[in-house]
Parts: sequence; structure tokens; C-alpha cells
Amino acid sequence: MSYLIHLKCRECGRTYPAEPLAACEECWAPLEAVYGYDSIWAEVPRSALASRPKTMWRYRELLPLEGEPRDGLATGFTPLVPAPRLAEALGAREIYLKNDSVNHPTLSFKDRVVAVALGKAREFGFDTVGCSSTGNLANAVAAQAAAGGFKSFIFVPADLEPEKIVGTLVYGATLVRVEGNYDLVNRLCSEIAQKHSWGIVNVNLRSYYSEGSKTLGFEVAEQLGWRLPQNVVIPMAGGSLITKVAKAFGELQKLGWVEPAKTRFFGAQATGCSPITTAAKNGNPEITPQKPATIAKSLAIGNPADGYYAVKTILGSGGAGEDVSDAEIVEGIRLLANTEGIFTETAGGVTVAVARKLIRQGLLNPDETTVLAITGNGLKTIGAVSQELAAEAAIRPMLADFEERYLAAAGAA
Amino acid sequence: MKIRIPPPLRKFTGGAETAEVSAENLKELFEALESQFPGIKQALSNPDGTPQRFINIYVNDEDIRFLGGAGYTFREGDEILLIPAIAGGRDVPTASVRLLYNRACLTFDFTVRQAHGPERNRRAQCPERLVEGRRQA
Repeated sequence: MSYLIHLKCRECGRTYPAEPLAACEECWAPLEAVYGYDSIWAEVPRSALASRPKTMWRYRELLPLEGEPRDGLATGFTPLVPAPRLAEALGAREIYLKNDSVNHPTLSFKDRVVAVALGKAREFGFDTVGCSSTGNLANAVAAQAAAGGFKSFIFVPADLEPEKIVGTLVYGATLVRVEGNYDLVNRLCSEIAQKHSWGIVNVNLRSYYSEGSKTLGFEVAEQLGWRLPQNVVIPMAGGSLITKVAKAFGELQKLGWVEPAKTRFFGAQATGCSPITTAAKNGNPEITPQKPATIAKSLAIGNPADGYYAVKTILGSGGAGEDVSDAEIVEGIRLLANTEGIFTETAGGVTVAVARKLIRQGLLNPDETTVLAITGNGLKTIGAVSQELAAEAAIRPMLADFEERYLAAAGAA
Repeated sequence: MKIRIPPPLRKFTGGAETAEVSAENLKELFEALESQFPGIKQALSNPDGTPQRFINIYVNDEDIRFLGGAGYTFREGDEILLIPAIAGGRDVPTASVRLLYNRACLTFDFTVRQAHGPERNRRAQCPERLVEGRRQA
């Protein structure tokens, strides 16, 4: 069922057969999966999708597996939620939330990429998989590796949130905590991938893994009634998701599954780790690495592998990059929870706060349709908001106590 | 100064994993490597001498861009590490057999597609037995 033709270097155009290879052997640039779009166009009408299960695999012709998927079969097709109360708070006409904070099985968009990566790991014959991760990927690899019968080695920065540590160990993964930030963890993983025959999902399986991110874009289009939004706001760590959603929208137009439309891509980061938005603001895609210092640990990648292409996607679309402080991130988390009843992690707080900032700056048109990518779940970063949300002291089980404490001040007693 | 060579660059070094070079700065480093291993400079740097975008250069444990990049002066005892921004090995378990087999399936598939034109859609499948064998490997 595969329509994958080959991998192609994004810089020099050299092509490679579909092997576990992430970078061009000549110029080191990332490799991009290329499909036989003419064949898909001729053989797969959009209507064929209607009867398929509501998971990410309904778009399987645009994913790089050779055979039937066996991993992450229930992943994807998360809700696209209209957000009228958030829109009102931000002074916007129409906002939708792509709510990957309820993705299956580990409550983040990383479930999508891992489903594809483990499928490829299986096809290539790897029995051990791994990743370098800022947390969500760790959870996703550990869970799906357990379900798929793989051994897993998960490499994370030592200061990761406790929820994400437990949410990795519980699946029986080998969790390797590394002294240093994500960029150093990733460096170690690169060396490991070069030495051991393992499927490191975001290293030697990266060309396939990252394709899974496209499904978020396919779903947004389908859930909007097969049309593209005018604006999307997407959080950026390594910068892959935003480029892959752009690729997804491009593919849908190529296949004639949506009307041609221009979508502006807005990239969101924390000011404490903003190499991509800084480059976007400078109007130059060359990335200057940073040392991350932010509560948005899932976005804390100072030397983003796809940063260069993320900036190009943003600038080429007429969008913008923006970043927000840790205090604004917490405000973003609480604003989303208070208006729409969705508890997102710090990355989602970044997205909401950046959307608010962009609207205030006049960079994001509030009269257009905007989709915010909510990529992770708030229960994984409790510490980010727990101090502000300390519960009050308990009352005695007496009506008078309740009314005195909670109603008297409001004059309702 | 010791420099560690990543696998993709070892085609220039005759397989050597490390090299000894003496250089004052990045520009000299590229020249010194080139004189030892002809062809390697082009893989590491742009025509203007700046480092290639997709290669990360570490001095001891620090990305050289945090140390001043091209302006950094190497010190006695510095150890240099070259790492592609996105590493990817081709190594897979018992690579030769699996890759040949996968490729054969892929090639066969294209042949079938061409032969049958648009009404194809009868994807050539690897025999299940072998697929299973691969899976359990």
C-alpha cells in the first residue's frame, strides 16, 4: 500500500532508497519522504477515506509505511474544538483548538510520530528503539514500544518534570537521565545511533518519524470540512511540526482534496528558548543556538534540528514567529482552561499566549479563522501552575463554615 | 589537538575515528583537515569557509557557536567533536539481507505498477512468512 518513492535531500536533491537514513550523506541536510502523488491522485479518491476508522491511519497513503500499520492503531483524529469563549477573550472571530492533549495513548502529538517511527522500526527489523526527548516523546516511545514488544532506551535531560519521568518508567522503558540540556542529550543520541543498530526515532528514523506530524494537518483540514484554515499557531521545539503541517496542507492541495488556499503559519516559542522565533523576527532563517531557560521544558531545544526550515515556512507563508515569558505561559494555560475547559501543558500555554500577543500586535488577523495546535496535556506539567493554584485550607463539614468562607465575601449568604 | 570523526566522514579518513591536527581557529582547522584528508573540507564548510549549516562542531563539551564560532582560538588540549545536526546511520540488523529484500519488493512494486497502469492497486506484497521473520528479528 506504500506510495513512498524515496527519500530526497532538502538541499542538494540527491535521492536515497527508503532506508533508516535521516540526513544526506553529501551535505548533511535532512531527507524528505517523497510519494507518488500522481498514483495517489489516480487511485485514492478523497471519498475513500470516509469509511475508514477515525485515526491518523486514514491518511496512510501519505505515510511512509510499506505494509499495514501495527503500531499506534488508535492514535490521532483528536478533536478539533471550536473555541468561542477563548476567541472572545482574545478579540477574535473564530478560533479552533486542535486538541492533541487527548491523543492516544500518551496525551501528546508525539503519539503520531512514534506510531509511524515504530512501524518503520519494525519494517527495518530493529528490536530496540529509543529517542532523545524533552518528555512527551519519551512517554510516547516508552508506551508504544511496550505495546509493540520493542525494547526501549529513552534519553532525557536530568531535570525533566517528575510526571514525564514516571510516565516513561511505568512502561518498563530504560530511562537514561543525562546531565545537561536536551541539545547535549541529543548529541549523545547521535553518537549512539552511529554505533548501535537501534531505531532512534528522532535520529536515524527521523525522515519517517516526522512524517507522522502531517496527520495533525490532514485532520485539521478534514475536520474543517476539507478546507484549510487561514492561520495556524504552532508551538516549536525542534521546528519539525510546523514544517510538516505545511507539507500536509501542500499535499492536500496537490491531490485536489482541498481548494487551493493560503495559510499563514505562526510559530510559538518561550522567550527563554527562542532560537526559531528570534531568527524569524530577524527575517533570516539561519539559527543562532541558545541555552534554554524556560518552564516550557517540552520546547526547550536551543539548537533546533529543523529550525532553519521552520523559519522558512513561517516567512514564506506571510506568518510570524513570536515568543512569550514564563509568566505569560502560565497565563495562557489558565486562560485556555478557564475559557474552554482544556488543561494543556506549558507548550499549549505558549501557543495560547503567543496567539494573544500576535492578535494584540496586529500580526494575526482576528477576523479570520485560526487554528491553535494544543500539543500536550496539563497533567504532565502540574508544577508549572501548582504554586499559583494552591487549594485553600479545609473547612469543617458544617454549612456555616462553608457559607462564611465561600459566600459571605460575595454577599450571597 | 584531537578531533573525533563521525562515521559519515570516515570515508575521507580511511576509516580513522580520530585525527590529530594543529590549528589556531576554525578556518585553519578545515585547512589542516583537508591537507590530511583531501575532500573533507568541502563536506564540512561552505565555499566561503564558514561551517556547513548541518554540521555541529563541539569544542570539549560546548558548541563552538557559544565560544565565538569562527573567532574562537583553540587551546592546548581542546578536543573537537564533529556531529551532523541530524545523524543517520544506515545500519540495520543484518542489513544486507533486509535491505536487498526490501529494495527487491519496492522495485517489484514499481514494475507491477508500470505494467498494470492505473488499474493496478494490487500491491506486490512481501510473502507474509518473510515479513513475520523480519518482525521477530
